[in-house]
Amino acid sequence: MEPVLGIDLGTTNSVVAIVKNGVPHVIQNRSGYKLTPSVVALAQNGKQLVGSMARRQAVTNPKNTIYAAKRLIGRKYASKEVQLARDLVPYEIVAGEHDDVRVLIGGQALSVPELSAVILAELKRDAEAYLGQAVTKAVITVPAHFNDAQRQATKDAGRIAGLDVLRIINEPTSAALAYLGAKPPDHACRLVVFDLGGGTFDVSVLDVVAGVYRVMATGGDTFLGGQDFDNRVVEWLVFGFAKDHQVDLRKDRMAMQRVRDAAEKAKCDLSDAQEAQINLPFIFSPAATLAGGFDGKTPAAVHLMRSMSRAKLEELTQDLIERALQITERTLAEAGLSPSKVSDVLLVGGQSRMPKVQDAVRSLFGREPLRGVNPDEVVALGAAIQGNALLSETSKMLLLDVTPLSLGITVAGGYSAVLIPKNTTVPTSASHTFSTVRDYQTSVKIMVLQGEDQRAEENELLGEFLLSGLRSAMRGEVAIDVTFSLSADGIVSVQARDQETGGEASITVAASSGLTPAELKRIIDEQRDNLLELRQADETRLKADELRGLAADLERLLPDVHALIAGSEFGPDAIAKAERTHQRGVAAARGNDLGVIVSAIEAIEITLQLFRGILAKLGAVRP
Amino acid sequence: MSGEATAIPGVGLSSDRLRLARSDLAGLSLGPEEMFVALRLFGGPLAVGELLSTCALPQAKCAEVVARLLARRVLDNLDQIGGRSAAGERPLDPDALDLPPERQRELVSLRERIRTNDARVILGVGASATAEEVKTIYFALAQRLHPDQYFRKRLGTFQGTIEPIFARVSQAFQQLHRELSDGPRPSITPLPAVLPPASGPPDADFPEMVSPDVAADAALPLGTPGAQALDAALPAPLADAGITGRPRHRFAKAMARKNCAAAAEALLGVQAEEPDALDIPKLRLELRRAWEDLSAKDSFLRGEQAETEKNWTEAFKHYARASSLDPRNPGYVERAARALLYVGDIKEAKRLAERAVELKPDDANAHATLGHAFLLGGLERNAKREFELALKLDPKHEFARAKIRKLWWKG
Repeated sequence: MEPVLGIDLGTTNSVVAIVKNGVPHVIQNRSGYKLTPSVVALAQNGKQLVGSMARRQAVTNPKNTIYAAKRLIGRKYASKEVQLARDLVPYEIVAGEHDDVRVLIGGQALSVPELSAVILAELKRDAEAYLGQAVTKAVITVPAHFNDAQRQATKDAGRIAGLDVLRIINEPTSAALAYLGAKPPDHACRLVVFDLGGGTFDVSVLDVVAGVYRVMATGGDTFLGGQDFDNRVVEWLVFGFAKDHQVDLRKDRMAMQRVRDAAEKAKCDLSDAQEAQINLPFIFSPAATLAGGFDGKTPAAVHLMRSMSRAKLEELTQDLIERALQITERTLAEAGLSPSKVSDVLLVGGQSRMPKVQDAVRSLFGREPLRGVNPDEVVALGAAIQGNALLSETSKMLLLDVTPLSLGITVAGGYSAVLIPKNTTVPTSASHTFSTVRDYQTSVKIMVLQGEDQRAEENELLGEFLLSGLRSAMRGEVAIDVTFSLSADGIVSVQARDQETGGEASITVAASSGLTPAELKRIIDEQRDNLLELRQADETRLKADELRGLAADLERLLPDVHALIAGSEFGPDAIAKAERTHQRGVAAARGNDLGVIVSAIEAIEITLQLFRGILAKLGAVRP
Repeated sequence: MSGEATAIPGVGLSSDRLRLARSDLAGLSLGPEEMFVALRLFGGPLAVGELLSTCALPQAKCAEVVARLLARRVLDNLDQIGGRSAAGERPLDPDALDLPPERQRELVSLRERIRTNDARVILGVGASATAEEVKTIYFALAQRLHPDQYFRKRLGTFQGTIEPIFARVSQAFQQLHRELSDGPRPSITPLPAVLPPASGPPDADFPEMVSPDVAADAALPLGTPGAQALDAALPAPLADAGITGRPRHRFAKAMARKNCAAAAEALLGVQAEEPDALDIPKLRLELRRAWEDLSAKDSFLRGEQAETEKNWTEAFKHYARASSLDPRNPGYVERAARALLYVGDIKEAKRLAERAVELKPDDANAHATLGHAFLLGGLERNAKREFELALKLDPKHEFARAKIRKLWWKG
């Protein structure tokens, strides 16, 4: 069976896993780490950087370093969330042609799926390097309450990265699969997964019996996660600094990046320690902003130095934790359970390491939350398990997931009429009879909505279509059956039928990710060329390594040969020539022109052969 | 399945379904009676009971023919296939390579079962099954039939059928499990009984959800209990001295005087006199609208009455009714919102106030009420904005002025 990657495409970090010989494990990236930062950057020299490389240079290159793309994926530019994000990130967000989000990187406006695809492609290459074979299939995870557009956009990102995305699955469900996958197959339990990640919060309630995982209810918030905790610390630092020095650091992108890094680090430190130091020397130079240059009186540099206690962090983030708990309680009520009926609570996501979060969960459920799983890796592992189960003949595991958001249509007065309520097991279908609202109305517009608000315009519009040719009659006299169906992989199709005439119209909602099919195709084609470029880059790197090794060999031999042939019949220019070849080789290894590197390798190999011949001939080869 | 099924010798239970196993009937040299019965099944499987009761042959004769056809394997008994091993192993669709024959048969059987509305029949559970038992059966079914188990497999003609079948099975389970397990479960949010008509652009002709209330109203059965209720609701005297003459004339006069009861009575007359008149639905509609209008006003007055007694719940009830009868009247919605604020449902009140503002953007009262809702909901900045708007529209709006002053002092 072809391997299937399980990919946790996170807000801050991404992880890739695979099932090998029935056992899931995380794949290390080529730098030797299991976590790859979800950061893409365009370096000053025009090189595309991904992961830790990109993250490391964020401070010096904030405008062209894109992080937290997941918060933007599948959203509309005009949405509240995107407008909020615009103020928080140092890179530039612009509107696309159809109210989609584009990000400016190196003067080029890229769509969010393209940016995510860069990360996915990197993970794919890591996996291929690890497995030693090409991989095309993947299961990608998303937060449970991602809407259709966000899921579709994630799927598109996979396609751009050259992956066949078998399924998009929910992160908390995935975590449950990984956690319970290690248990005996007849294990039964009621499990709550509390997933507080980098950017999003999810909670799911599962009923598990003998390998069947039924999701009972799921809930969450797409804008509640570790980064909100970071932002609280950032605000505290920035306002404190403004009070002390009358300087608004928010205007300085580079300073803000440093503050943000320091805030995140302090937050993480406070999970173990009671107090953390935030130490950012030379954060701002008041003298540099003076019109007349340095005047000797204004200080040349101001430093940001503060210490933060765990209690202060908890005070700043109290309401965020409260919000997560409220969502949890609501979700439990939707599952028809009280906290005491839950048998296990699983904590997932980096932010759940915070002691206060663990305390809050403990006091809500009255039991110790489960540990022993790595909150960073568990989601990717579950995705790999699900991918394996889909294609494998032997797997006994089955996931019965739910739709996290209600589906319905717009009815008169701008209300939303729900046909498939949230937390319904997929696949599912539903139908309802509607009638016309006006006299002599001959057509109806069916607007397919996703979301919980009673008012239609507050919900996501998935698509719309017209059913015309109705009998001209008084309002309320024409009956129209509307049928929704939702497939196992989340595709929504809607059909409307006039009961009298049998006239029908329907729509299959697809690709509302912000990219049109044509755009997507163009990007995939472009990306194919790009991939070739990347392949070439790999090749170049390999050859350059080889060249460096050969050059080192030559360097080692030079003194010996020099000593041996001094005064012999060999031309004195042999050494000088060899030295030149060596220098050329070293220079070529620094560049990335494959042709130059290959010719340098050849030249050094000839010289080496010659030297080895000399040494052998003169019988002076040293061990 | 159901307990009423009776056994028919040589055939099976009356609830068992029969299916035509051969398509080459012509080459089978069947007798006329056999051919007659076999052709009945040409359209698809049929229950034994249904076949016997609808067959033109006498029941006993028919059963005899069926038994003969079954013995010759011209027919299959779908529900007893397991019992006949030779036929049981034969796949229904040889192209469905990855679907074992017994799964195929199960799917065919389910395809029939899901036509009923009885969740127990679909899941195949007894009447006494507990929630836990239902869950066990459903989980086992899911293990066998969930579309994920056949992900990218060769399913032949079963390709598109597994998903809808499982969707229906899931629905049946969710419904039954909810019934059997205690504890309230959220269902579809109830919509307001009468939906306001589309106020959007002219091309936005949305469908209206038919709820029982609306359906009943739409028909407005005159001279039935509906009309009596209508009489009771209206204070106007039925016998208005000025309304005389032929029914049509009486109707027009009554309508002009807004005496709905008299108009209803006149309409009955019109109906009796000219039963084929094409404009009766139109007249009925006119009446209904007039009646809605009057009732709305009546409810509004009652709401005001309750308000003077500080009975906010009662007031809201009346205003809400008025608003549902005449959804376009901003005054009704606004008063409903205001009453609801005192009842304490801030969220819904805010929604109603927003609706009032939407209906009449230049109404100071609507803005003030919305502001009040924001204020009580803790959104002071929004509240201030609304109060300021109200004051701008009506500089004498004391309530808004007072609130702004208060907000100002609070900083």
